[in-house]
Amino acid sequence: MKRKKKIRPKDIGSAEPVLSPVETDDLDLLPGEDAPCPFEPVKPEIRDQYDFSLDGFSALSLPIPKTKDQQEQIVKSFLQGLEKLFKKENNWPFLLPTVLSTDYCMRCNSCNEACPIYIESGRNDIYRPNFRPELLRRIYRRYFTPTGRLLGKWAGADVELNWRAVYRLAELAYRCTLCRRCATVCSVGVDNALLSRELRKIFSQEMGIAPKEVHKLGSVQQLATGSSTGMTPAAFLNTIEFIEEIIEEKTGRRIKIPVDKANADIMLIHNAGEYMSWPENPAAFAILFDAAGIDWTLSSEAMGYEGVNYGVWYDDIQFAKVAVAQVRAAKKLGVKKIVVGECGHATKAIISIADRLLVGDLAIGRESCLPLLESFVTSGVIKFDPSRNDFPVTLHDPCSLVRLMGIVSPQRNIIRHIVAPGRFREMSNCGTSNYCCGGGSGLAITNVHNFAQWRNNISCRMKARQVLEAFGDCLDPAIPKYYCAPCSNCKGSARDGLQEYFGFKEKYNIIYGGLVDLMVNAMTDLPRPYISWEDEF
Amino acid sequence: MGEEIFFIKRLFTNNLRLWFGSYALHIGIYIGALWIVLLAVGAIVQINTTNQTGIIAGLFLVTTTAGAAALVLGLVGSVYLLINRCVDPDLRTMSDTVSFLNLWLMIALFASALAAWLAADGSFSHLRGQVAGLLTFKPVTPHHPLITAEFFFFGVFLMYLPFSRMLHFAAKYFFYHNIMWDDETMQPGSKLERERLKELTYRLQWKAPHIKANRSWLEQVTDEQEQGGQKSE
Repeated sequence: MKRKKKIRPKDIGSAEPVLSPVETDDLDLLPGEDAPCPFEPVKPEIRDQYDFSLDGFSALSLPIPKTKDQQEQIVKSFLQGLEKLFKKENNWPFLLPTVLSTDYCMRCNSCNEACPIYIESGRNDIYRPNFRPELLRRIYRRYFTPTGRLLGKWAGADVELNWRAVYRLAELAYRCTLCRRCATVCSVGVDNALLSRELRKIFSQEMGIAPKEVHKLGSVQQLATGSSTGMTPAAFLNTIEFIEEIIEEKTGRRIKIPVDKANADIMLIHNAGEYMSWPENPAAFAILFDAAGIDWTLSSEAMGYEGVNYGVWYDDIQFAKVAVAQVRAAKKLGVKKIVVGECGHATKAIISIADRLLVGDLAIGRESCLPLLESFVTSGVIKFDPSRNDFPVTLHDPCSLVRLMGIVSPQRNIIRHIVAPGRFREMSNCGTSNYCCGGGSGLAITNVHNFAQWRNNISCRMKARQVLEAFGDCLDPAIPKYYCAPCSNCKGSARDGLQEYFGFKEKYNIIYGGLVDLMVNAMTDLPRPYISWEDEF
Repeated sequence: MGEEIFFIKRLFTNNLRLWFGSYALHIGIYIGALWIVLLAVGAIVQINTTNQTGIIAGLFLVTTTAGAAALVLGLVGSVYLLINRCVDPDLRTMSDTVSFLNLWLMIALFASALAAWLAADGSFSHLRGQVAGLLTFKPVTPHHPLITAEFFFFGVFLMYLPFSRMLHFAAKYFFYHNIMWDDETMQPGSKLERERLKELTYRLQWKAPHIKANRSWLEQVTDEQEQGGQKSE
């Protein structure tokens, strides 16, 4: 569906109450969907207080400035941040890709059709993956280059800033999941998603603007308590006891989960969301590691039991603080390496991004869990019976693990060994051309005001479409189906988007879960299935 | 990388309509670069011998063919891209003025050279003489206004190129090798580590409340670690 009114980058500061409203009529229906859920109107008292002027939604709760001074300060502060973004002292980790991606986009729009949010929004102009980077380019040129100052639009510098433009740009930076699918189709190599993150950095690092779930309740809370969930070391130890009970209840085995074991081969670190929302997942890891005879441990040190690093989505300094603290917890235990559980962004953060930060004695081995889990099925150290997973299964590729780190085959090899023949089906666009779960880069945990409606209805829509297409031959609810998402964040999207919003469990009997859950379900020496279809998810 | 340079594969896969024009333009530029090399070789031969052998005649013929092909492909590709940018509402929406100016410059460059070839220099012998003049520091005056125009636009192009996004052919190397496929891991004592250690001492100027202004990256991390540990124990 094509929208009629075109929004140009230079319109960003226009006086329109809402620059580009999203209507449910613009959305393409999913198979079996009569009509998209309507967006609930925002209460007038909320709308009067906070800025909803981009698209009618708010992820940031930006208070509308009351005075001219406040308005001018917003613009001034943004420009100060933008200038710093291009200084090596303030942005050495990402300066090269930032400068190159700013300077060399050819405006060919090839990236547009790669973006699930742009497509599923009915091709709303403001959601083009090159729209917000184009704003950054034009603003930078307008305010920080001699040609831009002198020649204006003739030098491609036609965006005049006002407070509304800055606020809309801030919100727009959170209408992208940073899946970087757009970057993989660019012939030049321009990374527009990276520029979206760079924009987020200006807002967070200069203006103190970030979704509260990501910053205040996320990385700040993590650094203060040890976990983004607020779970303290004492609470963590209680949770481990609870998980040991789950294991005994589900398998009949009494496994003592090793905690703070000095000099172990592996320190396993989970997204702490698993402990809170899906304890079966760390339990499954414990069952597998115990069965395989791995020398491993968890850490109860603050920061040592929480794998998330939200800084990777919005703030380099918060990222660095968290990554270094996590590694120090591992060094304190004297373990040989860190293995990250099923969490995409945590894996990418500690393995890839932190690599340029971990100098000197902070250097320590860091791995994804997937190759290790693959070795369990290929070595024969654990016996699996694929017939125990005799139901349709499809696999989600978390962007961070697959497209951004190249971990593509281990999870598929595992599935080949643990799922009944003919039951596994790939989604269209799998592997490195996958689509995001819809909740990447913090969107899954951002629930302020009406933002969850936007996320579920638009951002998660492509993944919902893919899942329905993958199970297109067996949508009958009499057939149970498993959507395997080996990432905590992606499971959060599945829970809120696919299950609660689109009703996949109720309508189609599709449940979601991790890869280790599926592995334990196939273990030959367990008395009963590990996955409980009726009372979970 | 080779697939991208010679075939612009990602554009072919993801934006076929634009690829036709882009590919014609880029192939025109590649052949154009070869044509300039052939003109230079011909000029050197011309400086050193007056005999017209079969090999030399062949060289001149190849030069003429390459030049004609480059100019036609370059012009067709540029015009195709400009038309697309004007008529496609999505492209027009996202284009800045520079996007149009760049294409107009390419059209002027290729069109003037093509017109000069057709009207005044069918065998490119005058251009070859110009190159020989450059090599021997004996400038030759263009004998036709179209050749003057050709030189003018080529000069503008060369001066403008380093400051424009048309330099993406050079940026592409860094995109592919220093960003996308940079898999070098940190090794103790490595040059990479030494560089990062220096960068970690840079003092931050960011002003958000959670950042300690004018403190180094290392200091930001160290202080927070101590703070976090105390609070959690």
